[in-house]
Amino acid sequence: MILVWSGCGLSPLAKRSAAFGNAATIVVRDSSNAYETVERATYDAAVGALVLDFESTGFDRTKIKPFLSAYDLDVRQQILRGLQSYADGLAEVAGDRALAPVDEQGKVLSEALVKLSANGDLKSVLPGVTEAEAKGLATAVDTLAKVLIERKRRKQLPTIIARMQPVLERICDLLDKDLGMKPLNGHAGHGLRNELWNQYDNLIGNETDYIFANKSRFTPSEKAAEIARLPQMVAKQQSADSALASTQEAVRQLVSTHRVLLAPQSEGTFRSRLHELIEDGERIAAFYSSLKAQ
Amino acid sequence: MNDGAIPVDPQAVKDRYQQLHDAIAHARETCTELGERQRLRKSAEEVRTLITAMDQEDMASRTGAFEALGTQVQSANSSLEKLKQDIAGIVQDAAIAAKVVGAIDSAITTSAKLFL
Repeated sequence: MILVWSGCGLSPLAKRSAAFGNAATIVVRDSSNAYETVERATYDAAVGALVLDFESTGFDRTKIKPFLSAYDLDVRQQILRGLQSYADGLAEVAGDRALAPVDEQGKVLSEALVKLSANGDLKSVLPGVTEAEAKGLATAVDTLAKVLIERKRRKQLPTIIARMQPVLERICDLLDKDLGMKPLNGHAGHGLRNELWNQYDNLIGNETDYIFANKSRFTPSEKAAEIARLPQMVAKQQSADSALASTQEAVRQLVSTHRVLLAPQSEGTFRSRLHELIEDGERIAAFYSSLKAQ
Repeated sequence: MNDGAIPVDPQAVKDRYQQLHDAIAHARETCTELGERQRLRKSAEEVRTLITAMDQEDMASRTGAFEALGTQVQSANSSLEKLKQDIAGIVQDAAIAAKVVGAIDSAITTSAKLFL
């Protein structure tokens, strides 16, 4: 029993839950970044218009408006923070970290028992207590604690996960709708992707206006540099939309990965979904970071 | 759609605005006359404001649903917190065991002085 437990401290459900918690953290962060990316594009477009209009209208602070109201954004960030706590909580409760204090206490207990076994007075009362027996007892207590923890997890985690499934489905469905769709072939899109796409059109238009308005003032190299920005902005429009679309896909995957957490027969499915979730999530996160750095 | 009648379907209305927005955006890219460019920019701004307002309304329509789900997320997090505390309780029991053994060690030493 002791050997079995010391060899595999985490049950499959605990391992999956911990892995899911860590992967969900990435998706939640990417979703939060999606809102931020659209707000930044909206702000940049407003500043571009301000630069173009400054000489005729001066600075009108009311023209710098966010896409989402502070309230709408705050409600979403609160939900994402709640999901983040859920992901962190799962990773913490189900992962190795939950067992670390037990190991620590086991070590303290072992030291105390060894000290007790070496107590000369105890030896005179109870002769024959060896250090090995004292350590064995400590291991038994340590193992018992781990068994009790695992039993708690096995009993409570499935209920928590099953109760969270419909909630997560609903949240991810709303996030999916928020992320929306870019305009395509004359059909309007909706949500963040639509707004982001149109704001980039606006940014590109503003940059073109800026070049035309100042073409006689630019040196040839300045003019070339400004013109070169135009195709870069078009590429950035495409890649920013791709990041939002990938976030949308990751949000959908989050739901299906959470669903198979409680299905031990689908270990392979779980692993491949988790792998994709982490890989895509990290790639999207890297893109959002590159956008912030620009 | 081409008979000039005003569409009543919100998506159809939005599609029309989007088509107008795309046409203006394309014209802005190719127009070389400064005065005309300024006029196009103002038109683009007006159309975009309408599309943005529709998107904002669509986003705001989900805010209440997000808000309502907050309580349920909170409930799941409370259950996880409770489990965390239960685990901490087991760890605490192991800590108490270590303390008890330490106390036994000193109790034996003290009693030995008195009785042995």
